[in-house]
Amino acid sequence: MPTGVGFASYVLVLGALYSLIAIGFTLIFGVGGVLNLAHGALLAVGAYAAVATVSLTDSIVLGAFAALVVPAVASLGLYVGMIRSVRDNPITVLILTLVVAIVTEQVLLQVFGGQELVVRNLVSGEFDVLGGISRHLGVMFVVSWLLIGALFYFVNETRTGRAILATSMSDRGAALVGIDAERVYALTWLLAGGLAGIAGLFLAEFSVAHPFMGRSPLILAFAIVVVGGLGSIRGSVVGAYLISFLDQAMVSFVSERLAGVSALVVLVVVLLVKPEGLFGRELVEE
Amino acid sequence: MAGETERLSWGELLNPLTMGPIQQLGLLGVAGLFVVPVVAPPIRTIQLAGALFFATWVMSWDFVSGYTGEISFGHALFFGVGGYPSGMLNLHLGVDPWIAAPLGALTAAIAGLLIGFPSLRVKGPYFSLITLVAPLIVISVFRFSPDLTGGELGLVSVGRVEKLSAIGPIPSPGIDPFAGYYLALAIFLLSAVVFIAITRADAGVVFTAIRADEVALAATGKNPAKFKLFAFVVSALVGGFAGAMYGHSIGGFSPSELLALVVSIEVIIAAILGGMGTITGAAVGGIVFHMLRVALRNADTVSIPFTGIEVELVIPLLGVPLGEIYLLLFGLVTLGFLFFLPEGIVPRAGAEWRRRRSPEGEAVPDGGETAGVLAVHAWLDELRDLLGGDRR
Amino acid sequence: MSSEARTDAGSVETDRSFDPDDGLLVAEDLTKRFGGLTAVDDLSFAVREREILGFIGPNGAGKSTTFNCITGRYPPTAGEVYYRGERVTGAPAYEMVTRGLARTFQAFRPFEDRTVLENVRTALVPNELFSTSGLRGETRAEAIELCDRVGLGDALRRMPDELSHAGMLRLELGRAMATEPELLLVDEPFAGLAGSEIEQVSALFEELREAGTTLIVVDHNMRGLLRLIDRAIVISFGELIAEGTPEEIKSDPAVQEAYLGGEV
Repeated sequence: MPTGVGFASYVLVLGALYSLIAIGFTLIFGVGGVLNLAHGALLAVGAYAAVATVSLTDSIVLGAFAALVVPAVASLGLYVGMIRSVRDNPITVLILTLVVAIVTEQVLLQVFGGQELVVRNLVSGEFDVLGGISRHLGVMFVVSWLLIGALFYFVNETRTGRAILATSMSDRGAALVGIDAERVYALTWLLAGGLAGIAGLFLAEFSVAHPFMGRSPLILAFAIVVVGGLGSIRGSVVGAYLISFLDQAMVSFVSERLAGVSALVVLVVVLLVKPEGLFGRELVEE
Repeated sequence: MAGETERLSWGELLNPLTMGPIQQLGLLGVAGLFVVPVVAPPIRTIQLAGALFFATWVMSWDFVSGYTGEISFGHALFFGVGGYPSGMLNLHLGVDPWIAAPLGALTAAIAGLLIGFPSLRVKGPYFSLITLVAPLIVISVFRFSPDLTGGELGLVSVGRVEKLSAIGPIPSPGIDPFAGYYLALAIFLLSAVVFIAITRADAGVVFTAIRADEVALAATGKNPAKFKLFAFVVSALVGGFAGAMYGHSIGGFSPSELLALVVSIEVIIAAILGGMGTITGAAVGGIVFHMLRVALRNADTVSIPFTGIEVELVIPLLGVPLGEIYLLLFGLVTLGFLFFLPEGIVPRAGAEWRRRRSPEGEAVPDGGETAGVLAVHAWLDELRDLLGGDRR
Repeated sequence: MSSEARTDAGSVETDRSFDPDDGLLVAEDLTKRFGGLTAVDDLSFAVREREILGFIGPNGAGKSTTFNCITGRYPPTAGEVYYRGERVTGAPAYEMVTRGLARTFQAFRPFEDRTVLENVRTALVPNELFSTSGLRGETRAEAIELCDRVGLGDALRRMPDELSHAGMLRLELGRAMATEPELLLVDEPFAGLAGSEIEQVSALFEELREAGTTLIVVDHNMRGLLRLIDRAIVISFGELIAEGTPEEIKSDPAVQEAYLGGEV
């Protein structure tokens, strides 16, 4: 593992990727009040959608587009088809999404096979900056942060985004000012799916794609979201970078074998000290 | 009410002839367990020995989570923290297994104490999350030092850990079914006695009161923290000892056998199916679950009797053989149980029997129909609150 | 604290300082804040042995908070609590019970998973890890007797959710009495009771006092209370506003103002 620049670039990129995953997860929780355990599987769906599209059309752009759209639509379909009717029972949602996740993984396994797929980089070569950062990392970083920035702006500044904020606080209150909570929920699930899909594509590029690739990111996202505060976008980003940094530091400077531990340790510490997380619930007022 | 205030003597209480029919059935079952190696083929004996170890673990989980309501999602932590030190002491330092195992158990007891403390401070679902993560951390740490712990493969990749000679020197290098089985049975029975004794005594009343209403319990003069820690320490001690003994007899010392999340989850499923908050339900559930799992794992096909037709056990549409997703199926069944048959098989069977015997409908003093499942419902309520159930 | 000294009957001195020995239970400058909200503000009082003390105040006055601090549910932000002359500030609930102070809960908290008899028996179980008091029926007789005393003799086998409101109160009392307290704190017992039930419960309190127990009865409804108690302390917005006999309290202008035309 390269030092200095390499380390920093890994941290920055992974942090951004995990932010995307965590934000989607925390959006659904903050607005809908439910935990979506199928979120990890959507990552895999995004990666494979891209792979399939590229092998059919040989266009990377279309592939990226598929990675964005297919999981988004799938997520929306999941909400409309199953979750909407049991929305008020978070436990049932938990169970349902878990089952969906497992089924999705099995389907992907059957269709694409279980071997790890190496995904071709979106762009090749290096940037002539700081001693050479691989371009595809740079692209991932920039795109991720564009998405994060866009999301932030969207939620805080635009009308629809504020509608999401309002609904996250109270759907009755939101209804009183003319917001259709149902539309908001659907939008949230759509967004979360898209975010997961792109993150899945990037993650596949970063390492490999395989049907169960969503599992450890989901656990990591869960840890990040608990650390950052369930329902907080800011918290998700901060938590993602914190954990990404700690994890990479562990792997680079201590031992490769300690991958993932720091996230768990931080999780335990946070749960013991401040279970509500760093930022509490920004999307929801207590 | 004649006889209401009479005090029983120990002799009256423990006399098999005067016990209720359920208890007598249980005793018969135990007697049956003694003769298994004589009547069953060796492979079954070994499998049942494994089931007995597993059932001990399940009982240890039920002792804490079924009774106090603190739901542990990582009880395998104790099995591993009890087993590994024992194996490592023997492997690296040559300590005799009979001495190493109790030492391992003590280590596990310390782990029990460490896990018990968060339960005093932190709400139900958050505590459960901590219990979920703790064994994962330990696994990672083990992976970190493979020369000591054998990493993913376990101690077997480091060297040969001595097996126990339970009843006499083991004649062959392999596993002696008799010795292994009776060791498992001894541990199972010993653990059952410990758990049953404690839960039927006053501590059990306090445990369930912790589950019901900790604040009210404190208001009656009992210190909830003391009892919670006690529950964790005893559970860990027994579970850890069983883990060590398992590794030194019919099993091994590896993360997949002693620490993996799968183990923790299977323990929970078995306890729920058998009946939470009873110990006896956990015992039965543990044995049945293990034997079923072994059967499913090894069965690719089922032959329908009298027809000679072999049916391949495959899930339609997905083409996945049954053996691979048995855990998912078990999980779904468990969820079904939680919602439709929450008290589990053993208490339900007991209640049905009681109902048939005394149709006047005598009220079961310990609230038999909801014992244990109240823990789950309370936990689910807390989770619902955390997830924002009442925000709207 | 901003109250000035008043000169009429039942006056409240600004300088209330108590010795730890001034009573069975002494609270000194008790304060409890929750974030920005001050629920109890510099409250001081002493409870004399074998009296029945009324603790009166409108809803939200801080009565339950005061007693949660005293009985160990949570520690006060400031101030001291003395029991039998010993400092017990911040002692946990179970320890206060061991010392002799028991309480009931305003919002009833029975153990829902066991019968009335078992509820009381649970209260009788000692605070020891290894005890078998119940296994062979030792505490059963005692539990039955307690249930009889509080009027639940016919309801031994019932589950708490089958009890009436008065029954639940009796269960609370039975459980508290199982710990053989010297000082029993009853939190709003009369709410929701019919007139005859109020009389029965009051009679029970008198019995307890005769047997040597000191009682503090908390309530916002003065009607049932004033006949029962020897002395009363009135609080409003976390502060003590009056103290004295029931007659003195009734005619105290500060009290009347606090209740603003409510039942006095």
